[in-house]
Amino acid sequence: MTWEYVEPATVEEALAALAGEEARVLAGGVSLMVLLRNRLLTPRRLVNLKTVPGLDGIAVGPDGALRVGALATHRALERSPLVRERWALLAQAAGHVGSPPIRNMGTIGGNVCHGDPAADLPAALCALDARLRVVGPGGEREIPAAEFHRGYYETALGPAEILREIVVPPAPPGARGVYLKLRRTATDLAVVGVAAQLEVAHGRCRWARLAVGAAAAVPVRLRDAEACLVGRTPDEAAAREAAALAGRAVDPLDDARGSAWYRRRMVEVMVARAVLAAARREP
Amino acid sequence: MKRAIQLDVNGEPCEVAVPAERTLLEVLRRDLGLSGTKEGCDVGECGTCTVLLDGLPVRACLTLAVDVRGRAVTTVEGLAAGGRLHPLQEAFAREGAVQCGFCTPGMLLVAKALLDEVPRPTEEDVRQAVAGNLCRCTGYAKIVVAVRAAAEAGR
Repeated sequence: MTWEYVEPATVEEALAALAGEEARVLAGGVSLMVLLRNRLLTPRRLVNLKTVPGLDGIAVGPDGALRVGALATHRALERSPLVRERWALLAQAAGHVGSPPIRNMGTIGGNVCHGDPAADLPAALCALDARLRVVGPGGEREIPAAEFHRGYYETALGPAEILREIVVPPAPPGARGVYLKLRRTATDLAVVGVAAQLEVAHGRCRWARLAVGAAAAVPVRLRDAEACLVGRTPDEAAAREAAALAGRAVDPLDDARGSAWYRRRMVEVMVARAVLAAARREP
Repeated sequence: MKRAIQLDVNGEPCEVAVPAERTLLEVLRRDLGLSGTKEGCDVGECGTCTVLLDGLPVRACLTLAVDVRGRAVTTVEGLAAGGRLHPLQEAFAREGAVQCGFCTPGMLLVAKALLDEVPRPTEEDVRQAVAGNLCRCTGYAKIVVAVRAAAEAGR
């Protein structure tokens, strides 16, 4: 099986190459190539987005939000001093993707647009209130991370659209974020992935963001669990209560990595751990 | 339809004509006769296809050859220089880190990339670096010892 291979020099050329053909974007290739080798996808054209300059930047914009180009690799995010310092949850999530060689190749855009329910970055971006900037024939639009994932490997990205950039607003100054991943081996996809951010002041939680991945077809924002934490001391009792609410909020998948029952229990375990870790300001 | 691509392999300029779907792994093994890089799972999980691309470990089975035009690729064949084994190769042999040898090329390359960046790795550093390379034989213990021994020997 073969395809036409295109190396666009600009976003406009990339969009033109994606229009009207059974075309797919090639970014890092770590998800796409597996689908191609297994013939789960049979595109007629591959559009290598890496030849368009300027899509891999990691910088703070004038509004103080982090702007991450869709082609930023997991390695770049994991190691960026800026991201580690101020958006630690994102750096940690990126650092948990796959294995070192996969992180050298894979991109945040590819990870998010592939839409694997067990992926790490979608849950982190939900907990970060990130916004995804997409461009296509109809122009540019911005999609909140929580609305981007529609189902099992299904996103809000239109057929001839590309994800250009992800915008991550700053968290409250005292907030601390963690990403915890339960997996069977050192490099497996998540059984459960939890993204947590807490702002603790004078011993009380002032603000919380919790999201879980690999526990449903899409990442789940745990608003009830967040609400139960705000205003109280983030101790073991609070963590257990948040965890119980989290367990009720998810509709876990039954698959090779775990039964639905087991996943639900592990959501509770990992949410409790994540809440305490974020409260203790641990990495 | 084939496309001619130039790339640097182990310091030597190479040119091959490849169709769009040929992977770097296929080019290395079949077009260039460099069979040190192995075909294991073909889906990027096992690590036996790992090569260095501009010094960084990547999965050759998931890399399209056309995508690495003009880049520098290092395979296991590029480790020994001037007839002398690389310190990592010597350490692997000496420490018993090679049994069937199938994972060894990938292990050597990720270890080289690690030592190029972290000359004195801790045990944890080594374990993290080889996390993406499966070994069915050794249990990893002697691989970790060998990498740290090579780091010692190199200083």
